[in-house]
Amino acid sequence: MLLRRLGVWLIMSVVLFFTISVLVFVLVSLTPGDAARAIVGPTASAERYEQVRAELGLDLPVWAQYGRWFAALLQGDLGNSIVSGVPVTQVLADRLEPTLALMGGTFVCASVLGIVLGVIGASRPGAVGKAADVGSVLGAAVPNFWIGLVLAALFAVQLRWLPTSGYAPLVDGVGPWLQHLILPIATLTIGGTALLAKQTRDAVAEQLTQPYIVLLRAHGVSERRILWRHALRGAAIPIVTILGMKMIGLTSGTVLVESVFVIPGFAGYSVNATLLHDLPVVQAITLIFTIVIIVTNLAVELLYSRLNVKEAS
Amino acid sequence: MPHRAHSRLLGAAAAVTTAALALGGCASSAQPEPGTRGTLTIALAAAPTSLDPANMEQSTSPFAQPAYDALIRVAPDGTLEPGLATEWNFVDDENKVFEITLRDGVTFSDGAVLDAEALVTNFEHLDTGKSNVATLVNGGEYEAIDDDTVRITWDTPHPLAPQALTQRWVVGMVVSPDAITSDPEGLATQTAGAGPYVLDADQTVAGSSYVYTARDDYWDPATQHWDEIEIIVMENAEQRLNALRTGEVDYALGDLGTAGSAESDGLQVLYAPTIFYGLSLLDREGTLGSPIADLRVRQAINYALDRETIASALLGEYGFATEQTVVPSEPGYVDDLEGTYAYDPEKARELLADAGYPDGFTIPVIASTSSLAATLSQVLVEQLAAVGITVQLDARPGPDYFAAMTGGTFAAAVVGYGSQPMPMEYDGLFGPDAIFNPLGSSSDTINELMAEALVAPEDEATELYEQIQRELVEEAWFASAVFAPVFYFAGDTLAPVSVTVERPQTPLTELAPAE
Repeated sequence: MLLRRLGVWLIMSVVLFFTISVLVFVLVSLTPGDAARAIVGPTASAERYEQVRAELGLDLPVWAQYGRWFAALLQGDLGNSIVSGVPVTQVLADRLEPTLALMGGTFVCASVLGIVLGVIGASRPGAVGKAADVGSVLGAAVPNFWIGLVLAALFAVQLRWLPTSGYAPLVDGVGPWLQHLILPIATLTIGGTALLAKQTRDAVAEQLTQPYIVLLRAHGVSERRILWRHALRGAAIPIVTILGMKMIGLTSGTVLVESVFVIPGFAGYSVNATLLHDLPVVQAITLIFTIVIIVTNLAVELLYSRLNVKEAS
Repeated sequence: MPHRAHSRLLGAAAAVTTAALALGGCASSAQPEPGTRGTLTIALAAAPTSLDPANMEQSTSPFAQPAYDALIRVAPDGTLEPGLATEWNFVDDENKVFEITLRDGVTFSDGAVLDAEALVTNFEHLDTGKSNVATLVNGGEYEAIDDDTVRITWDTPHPLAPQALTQRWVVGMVVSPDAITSDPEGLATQTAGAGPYVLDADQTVAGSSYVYTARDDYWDPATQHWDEIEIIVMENAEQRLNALRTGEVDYALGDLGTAGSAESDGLQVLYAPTIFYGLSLLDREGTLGSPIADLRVRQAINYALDRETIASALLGEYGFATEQTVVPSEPGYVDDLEGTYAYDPEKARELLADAGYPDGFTIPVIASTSSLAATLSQVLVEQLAAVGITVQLDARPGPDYFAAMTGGTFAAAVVGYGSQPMPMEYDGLFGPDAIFNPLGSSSDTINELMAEALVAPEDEATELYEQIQRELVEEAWFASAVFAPVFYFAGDTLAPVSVTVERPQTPLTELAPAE
């Protein structure tokens, strides 16, 4: 059963990856302008522009350009940035740390905060539950970039507690690294936590009405243990679903927040690369995000199986 | 139990906050440790696609400035001063043969020595480069006539060669001949110049932040003000202003929208209005069969514009109205041409009626969506509508606008063009082969005057440039509206920065710490 599901997942992943890479190629090709124009600038003569286009192979039909890229990919070569000539692997390597720190930090913070708030909400229905409902609607409705701008205006520009922008690599010290990450992670966490908290609260509250909880209480199991051990485990499936969605949502959220806080990660750079029509770079970043999504889905699948088995047993 | 969970949570939050506060205030730049020169941090809007001056798009030239000295320097008042070249002059009387004498004792950051052969290698490298301004000097024959002297011989007159070889243009920057020979591709991401700094490739993240460190063997150490220069790419003007406010950066590209806030925050707001915005009436010869071909229509459009109101409403103190294509300090500007088309909607309607359009007409106009151009376009639409001309505005973002504007399908375009010496404007803006003249309108009068000016001594050339400007205004090739600036903001960590119409952008290497 599990093997069959894994097989389906693998086939779907290949199809998904292939479809996305074709779509990105076509969409970027359809947008006006090209990398040659980005290189020579707006005021270059038509001859110079055509010459650079030919040098870059941009005068070939889109399918031929895609064929070239795909053939190289099969040999493990992501190619060079059209615009700067730098190998794509290096472009990504330079930008990996900030994006990973941001995504990882946000995932951990949002998960812990969302689950803790949700469980507390479930154990105290009433005002706390309503507040969680209102918070989740607000959190989902307010765009990340706006939260980011407000946080930056308050904590960076007004109070001067934290920097407005940028990133300090971990090797330069934990202090500056944390300082630069707090606002971006807070921005992404605020937006996504409320939904997770609400789902957790609803799921845990439902568990608390189940007969086995009554049985546990009758056996004198402590309220704390019932809530954090049994009810939370019983509510795990919807929580895992939301966590998976949260991880996938983070890919787009990171793009925005890296732009707002000028963080030199690869997520935000996808915007620049798209504007510059730097297809190999755009493709590679999309590839990474596709992998994140595929792996997240796999993880959710595996967790479901495990949780179902436990529940059944 | 929930109480305990609560208190743990609050404890964790408090710990994070305390840690953040304990880490101290934000890192402030330009406050050097005793005995060091500190770091200059700059925020600009767009990254270069290559750091090689020969392959660099001109607008990204600030990224080359820390590493590459130019042959000639420009003082704030526009006078040319020795840089890597100590002398330069034309040795013929047709502005075709130009000699450059190089400074002795100059080395590049990779150890190569500056000599005549090095410069010849540079010009040959420029001939194969992608720079959009390479045509200012390339295509000549280059010859090292002794160790320190290079002679360039062009087929056509190049009277502006000295201006072109200054740090204002990437073509004046000199690259190590060793780097050009051994690893020309590497110059896209590394630097090998004779400037005060060298790019630290390890600390640089191409496209996001560029770090340059001071060199030990720089030829002019007195002008080396910093240990390090960092240029950060921040697209959004509000972000750049915020970073200036908090002291994270010392100097930043500004814009019209943030200039007022910057001023009230006590930042140095630096600007010199040198970019003319207005309509380019492209279909002057009727190639597209539009009414623009009729001189009376072009004049009517000019009379319909209330330039003074546009200038004061849009730009306030930061710009001024104009009917010409060059700034007042540029040879070729003519005082008495201002007022040629003083606002007169009645006269505009009469001219339209004379031209056979008593009820006006409808015309598609291409415009950019960049902030100032977009606002100006709306005003132009309203003012032209008032005399019966219906503008169908086609506003598009940067690259698409450019492709459309230069595509030869629009009879008129809203343009922004930085004032340049007249021969450069002839090549770029209004000459028959200029990219801003996609329909190739050509005037025998203008072409002949320019041909004469290119080989004339300076004072005679100025007179000829003025005649060309008169022709442009009287024939209404454009409907110029205003001169607007490029803004830069500087924090109080920097010594006062001087920006003039003659030199609207201060070279980054001249930014010095406050006393």
